[in-house]
Amino acid sequence: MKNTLSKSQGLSDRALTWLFVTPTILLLLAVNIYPLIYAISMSFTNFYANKPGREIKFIGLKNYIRILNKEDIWETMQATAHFMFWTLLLQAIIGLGLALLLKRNFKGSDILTTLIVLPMMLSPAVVAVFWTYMYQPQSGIFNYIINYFFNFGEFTMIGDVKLAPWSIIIVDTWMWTPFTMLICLAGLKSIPNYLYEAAEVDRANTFQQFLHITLPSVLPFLLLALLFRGIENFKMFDLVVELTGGGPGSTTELASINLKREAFEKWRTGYSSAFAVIMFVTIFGLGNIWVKVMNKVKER
Amino acid sequence: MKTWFIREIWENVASLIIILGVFMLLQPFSMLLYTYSFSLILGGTLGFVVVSHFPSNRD
Repeated sequence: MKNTLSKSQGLSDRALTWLFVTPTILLLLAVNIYPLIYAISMSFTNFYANKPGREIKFIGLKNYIRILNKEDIWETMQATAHFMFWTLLLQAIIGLGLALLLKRNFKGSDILTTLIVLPMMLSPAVVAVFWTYMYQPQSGIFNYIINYFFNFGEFTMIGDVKLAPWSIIIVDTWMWTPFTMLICLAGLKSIPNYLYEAAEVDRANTFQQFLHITLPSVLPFLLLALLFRGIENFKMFDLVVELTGGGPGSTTELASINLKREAFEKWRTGYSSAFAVIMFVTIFGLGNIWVKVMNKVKER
Repeated sequence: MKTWFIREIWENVASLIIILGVFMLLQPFSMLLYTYSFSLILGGTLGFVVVSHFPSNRD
């Protein structure tokens, strides 16, 4: 019966499956796998993309050794670490706080949730452009509000060496805290009410309920959100390039911005390929942990 | 002998190595730690890929 059906339809189920899957596999090979393998092979050479006539020499691990011994790159890694640490910390605290607030389901909480989630839906380029206006020393609303409360006088967030790293932290926190909030809110809503009822019977106060029920239940969700944001912020590029361009000097030059400069301004293709491979392996490693944590959260 | 190849334990070990490597890559204290960070991340990541094919203790 099955054979008859297959013959009458012309193609077997297996052939049909391959027919649908093959274009996707070919596209992935062409767009993802081939450039990755090509970049890895380039990372062992002295290739310059702007000097096509130059002989390409295999130089082994020299590019990797140079990158891992260069103080400039180490400094960009530190700038990335500073950016990651503060954005993740602020997003965790504010995101969890907002989630706890919105879990209460008060009047207007739905509209408030929509409003809070809005920044996450905007393009990073758009966000960077309007925050540039908000950071204007004379006319920016951010500077006006800060001066209204603290009266610092005229100051520039983007142009000041000490304030510029904080300017990108504020914008990223503003944009991505809703993401942490949404994940935490999902975690909070999955906590069964009988746990709180039992705790009340045992005369646990609000803080004890938070410490022993809410926090352990929401922690895997929060960790998941932070791991995801950590991966994203490790390779942060668009928002910072549009906002500060890596300046003033190189105070906000994150690793990915330095990588772009090496690849497309200095045209050191082999060297920048090695840098890209280092970043890729780091993100791939963190991604593996992320998938592992996500599976654990799913099991709960 | 078989108990040595439990996925969950080795995945945790590999994850710790990756996290340690990432910390070494991003820390501002020592250039030496930064220099050897990628070796740890690469080792941890390759290790993770290998041990994720080990049988789970739930199987």
